[in-house]
Amino acid sequence: MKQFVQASRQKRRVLVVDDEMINRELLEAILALNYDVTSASNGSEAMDILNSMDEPFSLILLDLLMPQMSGFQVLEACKSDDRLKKIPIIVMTSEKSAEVRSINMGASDFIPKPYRMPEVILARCERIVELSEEKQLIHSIEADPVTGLYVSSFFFAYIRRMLSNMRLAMDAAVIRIEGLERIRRQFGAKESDCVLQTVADLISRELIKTKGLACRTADDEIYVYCRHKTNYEELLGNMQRLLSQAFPTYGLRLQAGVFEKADKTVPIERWFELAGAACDNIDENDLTHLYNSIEVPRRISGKLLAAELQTAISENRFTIKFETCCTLDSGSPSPVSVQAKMVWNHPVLGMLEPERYMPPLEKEGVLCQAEQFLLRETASLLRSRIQGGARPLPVWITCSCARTLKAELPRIEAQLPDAPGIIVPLFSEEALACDDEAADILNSLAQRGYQIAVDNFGSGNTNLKTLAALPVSILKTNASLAASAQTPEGKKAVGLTLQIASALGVKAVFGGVETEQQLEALRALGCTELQGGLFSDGKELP
Amino acid sequence: MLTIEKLNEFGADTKEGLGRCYNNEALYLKLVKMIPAEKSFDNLKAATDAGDLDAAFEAAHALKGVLGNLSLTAMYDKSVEITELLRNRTQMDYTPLTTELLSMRDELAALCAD
Repeated sequence: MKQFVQASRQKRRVLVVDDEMINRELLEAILALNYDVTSASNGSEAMDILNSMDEPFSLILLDLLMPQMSGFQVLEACKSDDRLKKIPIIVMTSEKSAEVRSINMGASDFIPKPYRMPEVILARCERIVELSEEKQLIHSIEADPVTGLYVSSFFFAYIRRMLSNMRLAMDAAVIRIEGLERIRRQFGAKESDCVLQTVADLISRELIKTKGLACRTADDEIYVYCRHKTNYEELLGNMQRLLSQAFPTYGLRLQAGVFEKADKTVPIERWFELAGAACDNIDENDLTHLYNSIEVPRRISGKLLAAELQTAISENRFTIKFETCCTLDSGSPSPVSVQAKMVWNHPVLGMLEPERYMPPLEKEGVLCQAEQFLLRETASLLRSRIQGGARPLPVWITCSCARTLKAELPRIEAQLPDAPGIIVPLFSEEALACDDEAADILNSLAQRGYQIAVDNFGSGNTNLKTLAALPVSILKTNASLAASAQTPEGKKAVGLTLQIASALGVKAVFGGVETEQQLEALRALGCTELQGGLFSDGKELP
Repeated sequence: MLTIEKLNEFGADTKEGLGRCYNNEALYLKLVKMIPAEKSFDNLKAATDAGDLDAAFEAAHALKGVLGNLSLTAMYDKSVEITELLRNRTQMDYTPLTTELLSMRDELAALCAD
């Protein structure tokens, strides 16, 4: 790839500055092999050439001892010019003291006089040019083009680098722009980019100034790492005022959550999770909020939960409860199966129902770990019950990944000889949606005698094609249907569900039944299989 | 006509000098021929005669550079000697040294002229 890029490029330009013609000729002869060489015989001529260049120079070879404008003066002039300072400069000198001085002034390297062998000079030039180009490449990819702030990967990398020597107290903040999305939808990305740019500038001026970093995240939040402050409300107030002046009709509101004195005792990514949680807790009339560990964050962070999952498992923080599923065939509800659910006793967030922790875990890609644990625990429980002489009802277990289930099967079937039948996998739409492998797994499960159940039927993205193609035997609806069963729309939905189930030749189970009214409404519509809190207090395995 | 052999006799390290030119003999000889015309020789003499050691140092330094690059060893060594004395602005009579250097220049000029 590199060779391709090099070959396809024109010769790079080099400027040689030396008052001695012999030296210029010599260098030109040496460099002409690889470069397009321009010469200047004194400092002012060099500056003229540089200031009027159309094609940029890749390198300057600069003699230090020149009459009138000395090499040092040229070096100084270049490094203080925004456009020229990127061009690497190699100074040529035979004075040791000049070497260090020129490096300190920004020279990239020096070539002593008399010159080394041409191969050495060429190699040094190549290397310096390469280094300089790589540095410029990094600069061009490390920043977000709209705001000029860092891209998050570089942001975190730079923080890590700064941390080892950091002696100042620094804060981590998350800045949100309320209304940005609305502006984008109404007026387009160009306008919302404008807003973002303005906010980024304000942040640079008010919060970062001389020390600190900021980046723009994929969600259009801005993460800031800045010196510890105690007047965020005031600073944000200034920023808000200026923002409203710049965009008077947009109704934008800034929000800042701050995690104070962020340091190595907490992992870096977590700083911004906590700052984000603080942002969630901003009061109506404020612009800012400081993170307070005693407050319960209203938003549950997937990343935190994912990180804590294994510990929670090993510390026995999960309790398995069972919700009964009943049939109405014989008139009054009688249990036919149970669904196993795991409640997470979280040290900070309290008791988390599966509906609260499963979506965040799924987003982080670790839900299958939790499900695997549930499967194993349930299997053990069942095994000991069976060994004790009981005949347990079938247990439904949610499964978001067919592969995980497949991997667990050998163990399950070894523990529970009646496994197909006792264990009923309840697949989420994600589990079904994916690919041929999932379809193969499901087909083989069906062949082995497993009942295949589909969860949340009708409330998500259930793909009818998939449904028709897979060996599904049970459709389970969720609480939203049971809750609306008494409304006209709800009734219609329930009716449709029953019809689809009948057309497919499968069973329909209505979940989330909590009240007698819901039970009767569903019964009246012809539902026979119901599940939910109404039928059990969800404690033990019946 | 100037040749490599003559330069070797003169005291140049032509192998090294040619090396710097990628063994381009024509280039090397062309550059060597420019040496006698170097103004710095006369500048050096004038400056030392006038006692302007700053100007003299600059001239000596410039000569040192080009003489070294072309590996005109004998002249280079002489110029180094002068440069180091001038670096410290040593007060002395530079005439013997400059005369010697300039006569080497003249010898080279003669070689080039042939």
